[in-house]
Amino acid sequence: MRRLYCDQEAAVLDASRSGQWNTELRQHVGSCSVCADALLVAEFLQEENRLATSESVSLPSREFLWWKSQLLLKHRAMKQATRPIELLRTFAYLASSITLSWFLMNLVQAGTELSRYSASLQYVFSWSGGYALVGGATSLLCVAVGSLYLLWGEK
Amino acid sequence: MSIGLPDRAVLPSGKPCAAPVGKIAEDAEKKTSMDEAAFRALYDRTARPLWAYLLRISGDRDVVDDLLQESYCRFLSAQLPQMNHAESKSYLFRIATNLMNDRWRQRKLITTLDEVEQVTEEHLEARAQMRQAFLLLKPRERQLLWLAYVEGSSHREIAGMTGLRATSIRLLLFRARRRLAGVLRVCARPSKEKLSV
Repeated sequence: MRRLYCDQEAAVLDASRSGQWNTELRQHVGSCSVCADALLVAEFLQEENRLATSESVSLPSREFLWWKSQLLLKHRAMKQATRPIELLRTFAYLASSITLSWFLMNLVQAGTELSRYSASLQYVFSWSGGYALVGGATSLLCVAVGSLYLLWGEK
Repeated sequence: MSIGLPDRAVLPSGKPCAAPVGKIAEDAEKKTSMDEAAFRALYDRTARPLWAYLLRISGDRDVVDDLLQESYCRFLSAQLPQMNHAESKSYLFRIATNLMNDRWRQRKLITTLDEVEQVTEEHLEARAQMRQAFLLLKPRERQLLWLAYVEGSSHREIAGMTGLRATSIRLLLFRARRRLAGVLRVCARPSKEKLSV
């Protein structure tokens, strides 16, 4: 079974970086497969790094990156600040939808004789007045709380 | 720096928000983990190495700038505790590594060599071929090798950057190194010898 590591590996890599080899270390690399592999790979990758970092490419400017990240942060902060309003608006839409459906169902009930034959529908309609009241009241409450929040924000 | 925002935040409906943008902007700046001068220093120190890392590991020049920008933006918008230079760099490389991994998962990056083109031994010549040989490795192996042999990171640091367990780094690194060394030796052989392999 091959060894996973060698105690001399760090010394070999240091020597590779600095170029300061001693005879003993060179002989060791010749006889140790772990260090030979490590040296080969390290030299290749360091050369790749040297070539990549010496390429004349224009990196994005740091001012632009700073500006972009500030913009992202502000966007995130604004989203957070307007979250309560969004929440209230969603509730208001929901409550309004319930009220509107109650209204439409009553219209349908008045327009057809369907409810006469359907006991279950009658049961639903008997409760729908209460639901509509709750829905309407919730809508008004959401609008009121939203308005108060806006007024409070103005101050 | 002015970033040209309106005086008030605008709701999705198009109406202005009650809270003034100035206050929101101030709050946002407080959430940045470092000031602009510190960021400039960090950028000057890390941009080139990070660019080289992204280029060599992703193998796709077209996405490098994009990944670089995203890495810095995520770094700046993360609410981080006070970090020293080494920790900041390490965290930045971690973000970049995760971004690359995300792209590989979404198949937006295709850079394992068997997916790009099948390379026969006749094609393996000089550095360009060695570079392609490097792409023969799995993305994770490339990351491990680069972090260990170029950035000089310890096993523990590599584990932090890649999300792997520190105890498995040694074995994974050994396998990756052996694979790459094997391919590099093939590249280094004279052409006639390669053909006879």
